[in-house]
Amino acid sequence: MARVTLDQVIKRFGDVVAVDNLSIEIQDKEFLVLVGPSGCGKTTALRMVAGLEEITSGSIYIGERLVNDVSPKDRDIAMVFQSYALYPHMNVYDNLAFGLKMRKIARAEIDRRVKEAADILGIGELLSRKPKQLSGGQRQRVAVGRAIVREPAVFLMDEPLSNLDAKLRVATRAELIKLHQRLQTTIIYVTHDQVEAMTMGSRIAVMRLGVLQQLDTPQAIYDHPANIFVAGFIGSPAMNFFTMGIGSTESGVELVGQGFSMALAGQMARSAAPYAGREVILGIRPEGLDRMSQGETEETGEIAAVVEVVESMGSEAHLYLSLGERSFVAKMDGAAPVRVGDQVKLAFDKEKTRLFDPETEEAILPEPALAIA
Amino acid sequence: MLGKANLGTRFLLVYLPLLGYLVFLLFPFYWMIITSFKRDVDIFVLEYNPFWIENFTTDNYRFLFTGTAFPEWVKNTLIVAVASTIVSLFCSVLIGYALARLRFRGSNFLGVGIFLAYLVPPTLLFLPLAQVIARYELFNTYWALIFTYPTQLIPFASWLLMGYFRTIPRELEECAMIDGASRLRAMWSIVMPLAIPGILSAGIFSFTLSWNEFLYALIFMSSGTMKTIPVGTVSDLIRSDVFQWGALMASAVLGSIPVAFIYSFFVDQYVSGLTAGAVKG
Repeated sequence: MARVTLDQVIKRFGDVVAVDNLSIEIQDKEFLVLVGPSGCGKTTALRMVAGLEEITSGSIYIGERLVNDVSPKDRDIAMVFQSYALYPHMNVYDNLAFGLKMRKIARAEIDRRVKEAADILGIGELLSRKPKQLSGGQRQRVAVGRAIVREPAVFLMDEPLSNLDAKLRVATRAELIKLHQRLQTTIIYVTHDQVEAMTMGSRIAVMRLGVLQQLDTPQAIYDHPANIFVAGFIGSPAMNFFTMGIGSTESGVELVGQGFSMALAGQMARSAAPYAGREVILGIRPEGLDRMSQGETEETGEIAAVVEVVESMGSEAHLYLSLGERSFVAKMDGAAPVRVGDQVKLAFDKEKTRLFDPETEEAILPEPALAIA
Repeated sequence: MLGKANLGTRFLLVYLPLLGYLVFLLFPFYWMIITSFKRDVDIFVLEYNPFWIENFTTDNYRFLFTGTAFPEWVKNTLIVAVASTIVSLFCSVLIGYALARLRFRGSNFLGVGIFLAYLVPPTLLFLPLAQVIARYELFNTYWALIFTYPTQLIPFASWLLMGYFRTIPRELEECAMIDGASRLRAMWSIVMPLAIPGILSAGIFSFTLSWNEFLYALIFMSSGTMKTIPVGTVSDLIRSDVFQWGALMASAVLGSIPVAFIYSFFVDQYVSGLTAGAVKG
């Protein structure tokens, strides 16, 4: 049980900055997911917490203890590797027991803990097998089991599901969530898969090119992405972006884009006002777009577009649409009664759209004073 | 019909050349073995079929054990070969591991340097080495060879082991280190058991080379009973221009047995050890 604190941590490999000034405070018993595309520094960050990489500058605390110069074995952590890193020459029992033997724990206690972990994970029958005799899913369980038996203060997991097939990945995802609830231990989990991040994390840290982009709960990140990168990375299919000019009408501020326009009211109009005469990026989530029905209100915007591709998944359908030269995606519930080439009118909730600055790529937020008013 | 034709062509193209090659390869061994069982006088009688033993005898072997210091040679060779193999393996494992795993200044340079050391011909190296041996007064002691053989064995064995260590995933050690092992402990409990094929290959290589070595053994350890099999065979069984062919061949047969024995036992590991180093090293 422990908090983990990264304070202005920097890691350089030669001239390359892998992790740039990363500060995260991970609460006790929290499930923190580090997510980002490959090369974003998430694994390096995790390896620094593990003590497998030295940090160039900054400090890392586990609990109240500064661990910058503490060797991995003395950090009271356990790690699950992407490749599982099971010891090939030992059977499952010895794999699970290795960490305990290293710590000179009594044989009876080792036996009790190994059996208990094997029970939790349902690998009791496999204890005498060698890793190469196990399936991918079984190996993954053994890797998790090896971490559990240690009863560490912090679990570190480096893409533990990425070697499983899609179906098993979903099942194991749920099991890891249950395991976290049962063990009540701090977990730092690295993944490049935003679905894993959304479903598993109590909080998500989105990273890009070594820099922390946003750190918040999954819902807050989904609803209020801090910038275009986060908006595009979290959510599947990705958010649609439209470059819009800002004009003013007698009723207020209006966004004018290729093929459609949208009048802004209230808070959004106020936050967009400083951009008058310039361009902004409008972000609309695919699930925010729906086919026009009766009863639109002031809050509804609309786009007319041509259907190019229909991907039907049974419970939902993705429409790939074109609007002039731009293409974008809409996500519909159920089967979509449209065909390729159809002209459709789509409605969206203006309140759920996001505006971004085209230069800084940051979200344009309502000014705090005005938001309160 | 087609199948039959195929069999015919396959015989012509595959088995016949292989058979020819095998005969070519094994003939010297055959010659060595049959000669060792011939009477000395028969070897020079041209009426006899030279490819067959007319009068079978074990006199040559008996002479080897009673008339020469052959048992001493075997003992010497064994002591020197085993000791220099152990010394070389111990050093090479540490060197190979360090070059494969530890990031330190000049590690690449050191790796190349060690390889270059291997390329220095032993025939050049023996001159300075002879001075060293003389200064430490080690001539005609086992140490003369136990210290000098590794100069040839360590460079190659280190490179072979470095290549092998690189094929072992780094995460295994990292995991062990998180699990509570020190680096040395992780190396001992995790890396070593997995590197056995590589270590065996390096060991076989070292043992074979030390067992057969001639030049250093001739120079550094060649008086009285302090001879190795190759040196003893050549110096004691050839008396000026008299070649005791039967005894020579008997000594050669007995001398090749240990090496042949080791190879036949570990050939699988040897191959996998060498290729792992070759492909990924």
